Amino acid sequence: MYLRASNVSLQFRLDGHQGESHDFAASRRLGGVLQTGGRHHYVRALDDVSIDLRHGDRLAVIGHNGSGKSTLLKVLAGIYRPQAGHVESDRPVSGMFNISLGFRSEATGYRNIMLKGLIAGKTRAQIEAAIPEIAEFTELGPYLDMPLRTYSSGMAMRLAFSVATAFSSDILLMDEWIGAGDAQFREKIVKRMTGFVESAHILVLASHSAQLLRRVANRAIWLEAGRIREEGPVDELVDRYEAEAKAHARAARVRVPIRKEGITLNISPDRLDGFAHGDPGQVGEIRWDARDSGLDSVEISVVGLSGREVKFKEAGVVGRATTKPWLKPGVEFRLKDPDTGDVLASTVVAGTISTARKPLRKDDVTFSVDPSTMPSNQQGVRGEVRWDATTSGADTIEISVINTSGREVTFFRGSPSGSVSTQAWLKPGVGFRLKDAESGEVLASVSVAEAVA
Amino acid sequence: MDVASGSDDDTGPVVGASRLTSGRRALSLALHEWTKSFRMWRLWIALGMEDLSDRYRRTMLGISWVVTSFAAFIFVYIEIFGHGSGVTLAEYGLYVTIGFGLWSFVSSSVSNGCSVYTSSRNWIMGESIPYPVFFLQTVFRDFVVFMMTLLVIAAALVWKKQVWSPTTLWAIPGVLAYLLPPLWLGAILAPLCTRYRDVMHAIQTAMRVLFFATPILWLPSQRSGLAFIAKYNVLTYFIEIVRAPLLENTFPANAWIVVLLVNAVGIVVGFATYAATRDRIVYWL
Repeated sequence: MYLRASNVSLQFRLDGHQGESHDFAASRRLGGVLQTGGRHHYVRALDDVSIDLRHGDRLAVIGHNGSGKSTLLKVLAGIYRPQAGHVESDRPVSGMFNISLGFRSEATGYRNIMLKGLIAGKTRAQIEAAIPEIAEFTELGPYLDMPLRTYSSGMAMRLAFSVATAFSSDILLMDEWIGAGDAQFREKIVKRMTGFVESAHILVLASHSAQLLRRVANRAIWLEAGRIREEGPVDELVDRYEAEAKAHARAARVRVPIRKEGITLNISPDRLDGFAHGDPGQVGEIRWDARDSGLDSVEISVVGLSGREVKFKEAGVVGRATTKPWLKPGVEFRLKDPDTGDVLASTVVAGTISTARKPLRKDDVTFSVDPSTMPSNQQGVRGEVRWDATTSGADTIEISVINTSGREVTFFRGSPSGSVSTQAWLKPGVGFRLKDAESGEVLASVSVAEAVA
Repeated sequence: MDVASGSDDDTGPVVGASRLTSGRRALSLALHEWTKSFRMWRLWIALGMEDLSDRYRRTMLGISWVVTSFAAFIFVYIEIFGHGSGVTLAEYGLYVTIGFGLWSFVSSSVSNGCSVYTSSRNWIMGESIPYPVFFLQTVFRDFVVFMMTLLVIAAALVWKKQVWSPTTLWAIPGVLAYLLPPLWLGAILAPLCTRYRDVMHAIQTAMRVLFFATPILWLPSQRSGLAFIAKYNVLTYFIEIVRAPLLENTFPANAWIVVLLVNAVGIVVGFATYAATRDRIVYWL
C-alpha cells in the first residue's frame, strides 16, 4: 500500500485584481506566495511538495493557517488536480474535510451512510452489512433516522468519521475539524486511529492540536507558504513548531515601555466654587497630551461622585473634548492605556458642594403632552409626554399621572429632560405632574383638554 | 478563482513549465471517468432519487404532482385556445399534449444541464467522485419526471383519430433518443454556466424564444411563416420523431437523420468540452 505525491505544485488564479497592487508583506507568514504573471495574480498554494507514504505511516501536517495543509489534503484526495507533479496510490483514498461537504443535509443519517458506501464502490448488501457496526460506533441511535440537518456539528462528525473508517479506510485523510467531537468520542477516534498501525493503514492528519498529533502520528511535515519547510519524526517537529510559535508570540508581546512623564490632562473649569447641592452640573472641556507615553491611542474615563468609572472617550494621544452638563466638584478624569488599563494621569474638578439645598427654579421648566386636546367621546389613545427641567436644579425628576377619577400614580422617574410614550389611555381629564424626585415638589403640570366639537 | 494553466493567454508563472494534462492525456482521463461513472449506476440512481425525494418531501401526492400539474395545464390550455385551431379539438389536444410534454423535458434538461456542477458543488469539493456521475444523476432524475409526463401523453392517446399501426411504435425509440442530448448538452453547458454565471440566464431567455419557434402550440399547416423558421430549428425534428408516429402513423426519416447527426456532433463536442474543462471546474465553483 502506498500514497505518493511527486513534486506537486498548484496555484490559484485570483480574478478581479488586475491593476491592483496589494501589500502582502505584512501577512508573509499567512497564505501561499503571491505572484503576478501576465495580466493575472496567482497564489501558489503548493510548491514542489513530495511525500511518500507506505503502510503504517501516519503523517501529521503542521503549519500556519493558509500554509497549504488543506490544499495538500485535497490534492491527495483527488479533489484538486495539481498543475505540476502527480499523486498516485494503489488503494482508494477517503478524506474527511469540511463537515458541510460530501453529505446531503435533507437525507437521514442512514441514507447518508448508504450514499457514502456507494461512493466508496460498495454494493447495497455490503453497505447493509456494515451499517450495524457504523451505527454502534457513532452511538447516534435513533438520530440516524433523522435528517442530517438536525445534527449538531459534533454528531455530524461522529457520523462522518465512522463512515470514513468503515468504507475504504485503507488510506484516510483528515482535516482539522476532528475537534468537533466531545472528549469521549475524541478518545474513541484516537483509539481507532492508533489501531491503524497494526492493520497497516495510511493516515494523513492536518491539525493544530499538538497533543492529538503526537498521539496519533509518527511522521510529520511542516508546511510554510506551500513548501515543505521541514520533515521528520512527529515529536521533534511539533516541538520545533511550537517553540517557534511561542517565540513569535513573545516578540509580538514585547512593547515599548509606557512612560508617564510629560503627560498632561486638564479640565476647565478646574474649580467650581459655591456649588450647592441640587445645582445643575456644568459644561466643561477636557484636554490631554500623551505623546510622550509611546502609546498610539488613549482612553479617557470619568469617575462620578458615586465612585462609578465610565469610559468617556477613546482617542488619539493628543486631543480635547467637551462634556455635557454634568461637571461637579469631585468628578475625576483618568487617562489610561487602552490595552492594559494602566492609569497614566488623572485630574479632579476642585471645589466643595454645600449641603444647603438651593430652592428649585420653576421658570424655565417646559412640560407638554401630545395630544393635548381630544374629543371626550373618543377611546383612549397613545401619546407622548416631553419635559425639560434641567434648569430647575433637580437631579432626578418624577412624573405622575392623575387619572380621570383623581388618583395619582407614578409614571416615570429619571433624567431631568426627555420624553416618554404612553399606552392608549390618554383621554380628556388625564393630568401629569412633573416633580423633583427628592423633595416631591411639583415643578410643572399639564393635562389633556377636551376638544371643542 | 481559476487555475493558472488554462487557455493560451494564461501564461502565468506556471510551475515547472509543464502543462499537466496534454490534450491526449486529458481525453483518456475523461473517457476513463465516463466509463467508470456508467458503472457507478447505483450511486447516480441513489442521488437522483434523493433529489426527487427532496423536491417532494412531506407532500402527499409526491411525484404524481408532475402528472397533476401537467394534466391540469393541458386541460385548461386546450379549453381556452383549442377552439379555432383549424382542426378538431381532439386532434389539437393530442398535438399539444405530445408537443408540450416533450418540450418540458427538453427545457428542464437544458436548465438542469447548466447547473450540474453548481448544484453538485457539495460533492465536488468534498469527495473524489468522477463528475459524469452528476450528469447521469441529473438525466436520470429528469427522465423519471419525464416518464410521469409520458403517462399523461399515453392517456391523451384516446383522442387519437387514426387506427393504431405498427409504425406507431417508432415513438418508443423516439423517446429513448431523448436520453442522449441531456448528457452532451450538459457537458457543454455546465462548464460554461459555472465559469460565466450570466450564461444560464441567457440560455433560459433563448429557450423561451425557441419555444415559439418550435411547432408545439401552433400547427405548421396554419402558420406558414413560423413553419419556415421552424425548419431551421433542431428541436422541431426532435419533437417530430415522437409525434409523427403517434399522430399520423408515419416514420419521419428526415427528422431521424437530423436527430442522429445532431447527437453525433453533440457527443463529440460535449466530450471534448468535458475533457478540456474538467480540471478547472473545482476552482470555478
